[in-house]
Amino acid sequence: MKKPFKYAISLISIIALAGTLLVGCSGGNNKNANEEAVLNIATVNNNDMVIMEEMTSEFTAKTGIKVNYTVLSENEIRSKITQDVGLGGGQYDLFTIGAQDSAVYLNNGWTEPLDGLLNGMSEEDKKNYDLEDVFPVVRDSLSSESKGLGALPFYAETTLLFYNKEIFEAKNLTMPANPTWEQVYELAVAAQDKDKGIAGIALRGLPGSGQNMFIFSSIANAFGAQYYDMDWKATFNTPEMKNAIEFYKKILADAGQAGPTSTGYTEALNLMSTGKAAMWYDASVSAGTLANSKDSLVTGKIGYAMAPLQVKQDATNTIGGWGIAINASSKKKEAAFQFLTWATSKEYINLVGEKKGWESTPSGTRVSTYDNENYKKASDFADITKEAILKVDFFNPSMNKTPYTGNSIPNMAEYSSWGEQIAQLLASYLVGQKNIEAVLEEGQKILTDVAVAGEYAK
Amino acid sequence: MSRRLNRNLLTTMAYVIVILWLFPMLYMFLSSFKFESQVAVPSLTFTPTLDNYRAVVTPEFFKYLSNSVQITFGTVIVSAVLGVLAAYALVYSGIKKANSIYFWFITTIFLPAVAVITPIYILLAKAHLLDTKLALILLNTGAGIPLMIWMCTTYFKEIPGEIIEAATIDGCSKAGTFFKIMLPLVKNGIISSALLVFVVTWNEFFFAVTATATQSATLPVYMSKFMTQQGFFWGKMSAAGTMVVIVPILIGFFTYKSFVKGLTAGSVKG
Amino acid sequence: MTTKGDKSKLLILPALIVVGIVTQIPFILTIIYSFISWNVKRPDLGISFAGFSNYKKILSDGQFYQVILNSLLIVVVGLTICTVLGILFGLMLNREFKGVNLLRTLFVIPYFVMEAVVGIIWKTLMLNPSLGLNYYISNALGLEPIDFFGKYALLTIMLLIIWQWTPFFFLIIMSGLQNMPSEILESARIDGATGWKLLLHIQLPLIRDHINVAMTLGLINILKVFGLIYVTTSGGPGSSSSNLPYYSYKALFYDWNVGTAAAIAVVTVALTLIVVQRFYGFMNKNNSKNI
Repeated sequence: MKKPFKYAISLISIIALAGTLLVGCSGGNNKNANEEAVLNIATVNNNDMVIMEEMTSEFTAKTGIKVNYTVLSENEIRSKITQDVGLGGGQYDLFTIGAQDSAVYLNNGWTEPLDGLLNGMSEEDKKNYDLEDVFPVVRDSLSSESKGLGALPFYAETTLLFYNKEIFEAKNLTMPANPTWEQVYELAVAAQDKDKGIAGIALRGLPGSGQNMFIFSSIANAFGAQYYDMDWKATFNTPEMKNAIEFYKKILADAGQAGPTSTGYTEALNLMSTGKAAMWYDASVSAGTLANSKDSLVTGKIGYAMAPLQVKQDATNTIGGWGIAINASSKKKEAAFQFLTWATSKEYINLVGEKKGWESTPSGTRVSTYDNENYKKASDFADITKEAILKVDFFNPSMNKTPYTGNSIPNMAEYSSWGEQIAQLLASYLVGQKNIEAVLEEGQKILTDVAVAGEYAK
Repeated sequence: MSRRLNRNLLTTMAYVIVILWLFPMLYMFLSSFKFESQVAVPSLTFTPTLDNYRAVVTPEFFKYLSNSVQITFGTVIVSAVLGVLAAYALVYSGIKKANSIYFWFITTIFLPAVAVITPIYILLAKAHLLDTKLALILLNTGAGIPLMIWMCTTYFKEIPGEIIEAATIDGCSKAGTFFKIMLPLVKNGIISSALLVFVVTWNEFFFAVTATATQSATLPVYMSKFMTQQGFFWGKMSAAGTMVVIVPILIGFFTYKSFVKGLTAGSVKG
Repeated sequence: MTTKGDKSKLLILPALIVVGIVTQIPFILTIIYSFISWNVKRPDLGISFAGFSNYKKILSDGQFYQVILNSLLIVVVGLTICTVLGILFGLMLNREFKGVNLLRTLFVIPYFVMEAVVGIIWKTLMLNPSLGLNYYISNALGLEPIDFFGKYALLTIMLLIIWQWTPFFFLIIMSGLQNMPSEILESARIDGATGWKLLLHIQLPLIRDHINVAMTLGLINILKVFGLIYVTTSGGPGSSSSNLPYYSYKALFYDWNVGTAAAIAVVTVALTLIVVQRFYGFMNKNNSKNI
């Protein structure tokens, strides 16, 4: 009488367990399949990486090494990789890494130092790879002071000021080659057309450590502001920072896009490419999208200028982009290094140029790309981009010396945290929820707390 | 006269309000058939296109879809089986503190997911279970079981005692009574509860976005990716949105009456 | 019927174990974690016992109080408006006219739509100030488009919650109205009760239990809202539209500060319990009947 129940219990538990296990395992990790020749790579979902995935069959044909891709958005990849290396998931052999994370990860022992591996290459391989051809500043941006290179650059970018030549002509405006932010402000006010819904300038305002901060910090640098002084004392309550923040609000309020704090990179790109913004200050890779995308309504109408200056009279543009790094806990480092040097090589750039068109090649990494006639023909922004990259001052982003490197995105482990908080502060200032004094005070506290908790300040 | 006018006015109002309320969904549906270049402009006359659907229905989309389907079915089956058994035991097995256990299950419904995410995340990472369907089924089941117990306990309680007594006198074993007498009586209740678990799991976002990356990410995660999409995507987003919400809406159409009953039966008398 | 040594008791075990594994054990761990200092991004600093410093840190942070206030506002405003609208729409559609069944069915749609879709559709197609309907409507009226997710972020989040949850309240309340014995209404009418009187003294008390259920389930779910905020405002600008779930999510996945994230979670649970308890106290006062 009671037996059937025992059976029922055990049977049902077994079914339930087996069911979950089966469902869980099917299509889960395929780790066991052919340990030797399969690499797992996590990449960000930018167009260049999508092309890399397509091109990988060539690599497999050459070396017999297969590559599995996990494609993630920028926000996701930061958190997934931190999880993977920081908490010991160990899923990926390789991953793409933002310039600001490279040094941090390397110092944490999460990624493999590359200097040794590069030196260990055969002479012929060394010559083919030609590390010297990679822009020095780009190499710097992926290196840590103590451990050298932590990643090799897949593509790199700086910031440029884009403007819509058609709108400028209609309003009889001219863009100086090296404008100051004051000039940009006046141009923006003159160029906007509220009736047609055209903003004078589009600037990221969407709060996020990689969103508004990427642009705002560059403005702050131009205004001579910085986040910490050489003693790791927070410098958020300085007059320079105050000027920068007030200017940021002023230009957005008087001539910026509607709904400033909901405009991130994508939204700004859409405004610019639909002709709804007269100017846009953002990452240089957007030039390709504006010029070549089939959805762009402004093809051939875009002019380029250097990142605006202000107090700082030179090189306010920032460096960014993505490199590829090897997970320090990978068991297939040799194969991973082989892939890494293939994907960041001249050979790869040529391969993409020939197969996908020269406008689609990953840019910003190698001098040789900018000497290539085919590439120059496909991109009228090649020269100014090269000029801008060569100008970037990676070690001295602001007027005075900083204890951190990394231009508009400081290379600090805690940046993802405090950058996010400062980003939100700026947004609440933009929409009028906080006044400037409150912003300066709160920002100062955030940065001070980080310096103390992170044991930077002595 | 004025009463009638009033009534007509109320009726018209009802139509207007419901249509306005649904407008965002309607607008999404319409936009899904517009070319990307026309999406932003609000016009009702346009040449419909299936371009967006074609662009969205990719192997990638199917992966998310298949993840959603597997995780949802896994969760529903496990929650239903374990939940029904527990509800039965709570009502009929003379467990000493049946009432407290019942309330313990109910209180877990109140526990916010953030209360457990930190350790769960770390444990899953250490166990290499992040981004697996198993992990999501387990997490969703933790929420599904209490819901099943809540609804099913009331169905079991509603079974008249005489029927069970009669069956026992007739020599039916307990298992026999359960399968032959009780299950048919509570079948509809179980199905409507399971469908509620289905909808909740299908739409679940928090665990899906925190505990997955790509291998086992579900449709809500797929939809949230449109947040950071580059270029023009409103048409495609609308097409994807339309496809993703259609299943729960259809389930809702057919079952909302029965699960309102399930939700209210316990605490509503008369 | 119920014997003591009944093996069928064991049937409850699998459910107990699974729910325990997913909710109880992790919660105990959360409490333990809330006393350690562990920044995942700074392995060089290590993991150490931190005493109450995580709690001190969050409780001395002005943002945290704003987030608590936001959460309470969302719940109170959301519950109130949803209930009122649920009753109004219930009455509106609790009449017989052509197409009423279709309207009732259609009206429940928003409740079944996932948060992620609700969020992105409202954010882009509807309310985007440069390209969305918001722009075109404001333009036609000669106004500046409203910056919904910037200046009015919290209000807009509430609006979306109300949009999504009113249909659920309507569903439950509607069923209460339909189950109302018509004799009672008839006799009340004969007694001369009409309009508001009828509603306040007869109808509402009769559907009190339904309102109770709607509000309880509404409370649980509105307290948990996460996806909507995640896809629309990310809690900003500042922390003006953050609620507790979103705030603690951020502490973990942006700050990578395990101890702080756990401490926020513990406080969140404590506050949730207080709110739920208060809510039940409130409901019981207005509800002489025992459940």
